[in-house]
Amino acid sequence: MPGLAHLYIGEEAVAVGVCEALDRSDYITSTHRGMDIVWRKAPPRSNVRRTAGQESRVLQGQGWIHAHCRPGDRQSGRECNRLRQRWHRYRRGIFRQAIRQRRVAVCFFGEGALGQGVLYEEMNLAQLFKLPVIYVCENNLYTEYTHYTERPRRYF
Amino acid sequence: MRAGAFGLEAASVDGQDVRAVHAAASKLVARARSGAGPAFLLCNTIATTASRRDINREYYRSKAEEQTWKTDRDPIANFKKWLLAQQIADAAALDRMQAELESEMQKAVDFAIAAPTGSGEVNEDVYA
Repeated sequence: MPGLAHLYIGEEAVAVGVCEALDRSDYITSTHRGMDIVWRKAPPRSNVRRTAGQESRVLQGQGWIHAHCRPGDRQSGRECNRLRQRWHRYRRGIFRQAIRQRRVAVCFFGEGALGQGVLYEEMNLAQLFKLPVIYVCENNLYTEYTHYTERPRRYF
Repeated sequence: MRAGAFGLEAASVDGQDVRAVHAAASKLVARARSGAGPAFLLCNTIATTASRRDINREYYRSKAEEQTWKTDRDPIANFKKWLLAQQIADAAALDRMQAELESEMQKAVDFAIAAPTGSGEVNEDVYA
């Protein structure tokens, strides 16, 4: 299958370390490198099949990483820009479900997200309402192609 | 950390050390479950495989940096070393596990290639 490949190789300890601290009924929202995270929830067979764009129960085989999504298993994927609106709605739904069911929601994101205002808005509200959300920032050094040291000081 | 400014419990860990990540995450998850509120966990890591191959390599990231992370800071290799040093697992058992996982992945790939291409559903919600 042609196209970009956002692999998770090198970051495995983050997904494993965090997900092992969760119950199966907890909620996860992942990044575009969510292979390890999604594999905790769905078997390799259906994930590889989905990645290859073949028919699969994982997001009806829509293919590749923009479709790391399996709501039945309480795991959502991060989509490309054009799906972002839907993504925000989806995440809101996930957090709401987490609160209602007294579950923890873990939100994985890269350090590039620290440059987005919406994250701080959300953390502010989360603290205000004491939401059971863990924000896991995967600092993999590069925001696309920009090294984190080239970002504003006290970035984290 | 900035998250601390909002009153979130903020922690930073070596993202290459699965035990450190797990310990920090367990603490924060238990805290959230108890109703104490949200937390922020910074995991310092790296994606050793770049997204694209056609970029200017040296400008983006030096081969040496990538290599160091691969050889000295690989989370799986380092955890394996720790397990061996603590005598929790022996090399033969780990090799066996490695072979099992490789065969599982190979089966998954074969299965995916042989699977039928997406039906009508594949075009749903796709706008481009």
